[in-house]
Amino acid sequence: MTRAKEFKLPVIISIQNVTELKKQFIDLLETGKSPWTVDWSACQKCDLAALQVMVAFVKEAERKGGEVRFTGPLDPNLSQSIELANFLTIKGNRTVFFDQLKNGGVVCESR
Amino acid sequence: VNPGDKLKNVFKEEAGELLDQLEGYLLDLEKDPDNQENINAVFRVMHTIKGSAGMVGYQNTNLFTHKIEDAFDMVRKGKIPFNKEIADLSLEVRDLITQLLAVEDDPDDELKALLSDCLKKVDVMVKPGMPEVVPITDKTEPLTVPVRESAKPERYENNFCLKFRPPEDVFLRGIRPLSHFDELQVLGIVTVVSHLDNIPPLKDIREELCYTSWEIFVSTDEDRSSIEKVFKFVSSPDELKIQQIQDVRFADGETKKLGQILEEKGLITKEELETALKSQKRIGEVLVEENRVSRSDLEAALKEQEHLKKISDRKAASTSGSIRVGTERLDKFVNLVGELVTLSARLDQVARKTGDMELESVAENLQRLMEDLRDSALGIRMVPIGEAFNSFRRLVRDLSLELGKQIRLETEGGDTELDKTVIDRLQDPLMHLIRNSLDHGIESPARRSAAGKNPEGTITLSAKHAGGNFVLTIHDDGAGLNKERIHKKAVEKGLVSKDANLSDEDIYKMIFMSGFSTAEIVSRVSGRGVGMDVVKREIDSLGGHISVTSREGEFTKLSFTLPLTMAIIDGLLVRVEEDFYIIPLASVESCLDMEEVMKSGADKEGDIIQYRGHFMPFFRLRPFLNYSTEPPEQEQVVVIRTEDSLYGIVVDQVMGDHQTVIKNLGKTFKDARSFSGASILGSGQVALILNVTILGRLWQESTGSGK
Repeated sequence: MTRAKEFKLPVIISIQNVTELKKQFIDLLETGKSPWTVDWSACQKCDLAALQVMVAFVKEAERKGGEVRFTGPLDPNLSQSIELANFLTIKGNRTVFFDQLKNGGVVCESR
Repeated sequence: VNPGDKLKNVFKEEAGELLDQLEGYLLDLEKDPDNQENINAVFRVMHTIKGSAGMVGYQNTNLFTHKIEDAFDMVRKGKIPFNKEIADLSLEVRDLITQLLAVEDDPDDELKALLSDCLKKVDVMVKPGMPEVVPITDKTEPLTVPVRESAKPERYENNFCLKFRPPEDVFLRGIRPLSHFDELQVLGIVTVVSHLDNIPPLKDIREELCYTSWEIFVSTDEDRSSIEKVFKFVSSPDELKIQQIQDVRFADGETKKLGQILEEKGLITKEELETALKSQKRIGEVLVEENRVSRSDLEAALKEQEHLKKISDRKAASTSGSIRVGTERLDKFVNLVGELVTLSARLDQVARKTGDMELESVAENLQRLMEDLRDSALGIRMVPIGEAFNSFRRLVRDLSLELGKQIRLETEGGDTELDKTVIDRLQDPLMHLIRNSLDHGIESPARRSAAGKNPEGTITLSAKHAGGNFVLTIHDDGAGLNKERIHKKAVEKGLVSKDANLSDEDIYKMIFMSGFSTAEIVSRVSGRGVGMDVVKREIDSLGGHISVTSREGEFTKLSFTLPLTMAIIDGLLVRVEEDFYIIPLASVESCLDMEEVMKSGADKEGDIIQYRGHFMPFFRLRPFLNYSTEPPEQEQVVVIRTEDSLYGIVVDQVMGDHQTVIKNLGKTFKDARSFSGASILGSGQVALILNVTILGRLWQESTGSGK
């Protein structure tokens, strides 16, 4: 059985490199298998442009009948700003990403 | 009191409450470090204390709190994670602020050194993000405090709903929308709902465009302009719509229903709402299934409902129509009510003597009103025990760490009310007992694990009302009491004879004897045998009694049964010669005629009678209180039941029940242990209140009789 490839996010994902990120996500969806795993542990900065691409990536994965799993730990500064913007809520030791999409099972465990 | 001092007193009182809240938030954060709401609450407490301290001219408190607030702002912003070190430091800060307030912001050299050390630790914690801290000196300059940082608590008077839809090209204009939510949070409580529906599929997305919009609920004491300042970059009114939410709740106190929120937002019509309400399913599900609202709009409405409920509950908790009244003023009020009760009883007596029907009727009505007034006055003094319980959380945390134990404090029945005076007097005994449980009751984690127990021990404080009394229980799941060891120690100390026939509880209760301790090692925490007897004495003086149960290796449970109030009690009025005495009705089991008792076979000169199939000791109050005259032909026996005995007191006459307004006897009578107070009768005569627990013991001691 093929083990799903883990995609490690860079230190910064922002409007500066979001085009590259989009390409990588499209590539990931075309070449890999569900569950697609995204590792947030190195990421320290993420802006709205990058988050929108992330949402689109998750929606696309769901449309394909798969799911995206997120692994961490998430930088506290980052998690706070994302949470405040209601893109993510942290409940206990579980990280529920993209509040609006949680019904689709986009849930991952924080490490 | 000049206005400045009055303001300082109000500040100190409020700061004390805020510091108690702060302690609670910090202890909660230790368990749940990611709880942003608590982190914000800590920040707000610091912020309020800082501002208020500045207002009343407490420069040292102001400066110290200012530094700490800055440091905690970094925690709030996620620049420093909340961890155990920060918890310890924050609790230290809390204690130092308490000390600063206690010395009226005028620290001595020792406290100054502690404050400076603490600031250095804070400096290390926040480096490199913080500038070097300035140690506190006498010459510290006061900070300029903006008006809004006043002593008034946050009431969240204004509730706003913001619809924020940035222009598509917002990124290209160098604006970062997410950063503004953080600024909003400083204003009060913020709930953000993001609408992501417009984000196109991955392949179609244009990365440089913004597709997201938000609904933001802000509850604040600030006005609309403060919110507008946060969004000053907004160039078109279409980007930001601010609407004030007028009614947080309905008049009946109910939170707004989801349907009403959706209707107010114009997302559904009244007819659509009525149709949906007819369905058996949840209204939200129905409306989404029928495509009347989007899931995103539903989510936003639910969040709004949640937000409004949170604010409404907070307001209810913080205001609930209450006003702050000083304890002294309250005591004076209750005392005056007591005087009125006495006067009303006197009027009743006078009215009966005169035989004037009209006067009698007035006196009777007045007495009925007085009963209501008395109950209301006593009700004002009743406060929930929960606050007292919470004050022990810190004790348990700190001592557990010091002792290397894992101990959790659980509380039940925190809403149970008790007279504030009683609660205050319970504080020290409770603290002592909890320290004992921590030190001697709960075992070390290793020992607990070896015994197959959870390494984490639990101390449970619970309270309830039972039969007109207040019952307080302290339960620990520790090692329990060792009966044999307690008995052996008591025999060694000569507290009990080796052959005495004792029940388990009799043995357990020996821990309350003066100088008794089975602890092998005297620790700093407890174990000197000093204190348990003081606990017992305090409970006795409150008119309460203690029961102890335990199972070795499993648990120890101490229960205190206490009267609900110490101000006015139901008493039984008795007479000896021309003097009157009051026996607390809660201790009276029954009243008997001495003649009837004699018929049942008791010796008139003896001290044992048959009572309900048991032998019961009794004694005459006359000789005990040094009356030298002859008793009347007909005497009466009042049967008393205390925590540890059943006995009879022979009096000349039982007069009947009496609403007893308790007066302190004062220092002159401090050695008169048989009496717990006095009360003034309707006739103006003074009646002494018998302390039946002590009285029974003194009599036993004087005759050498056992139980």
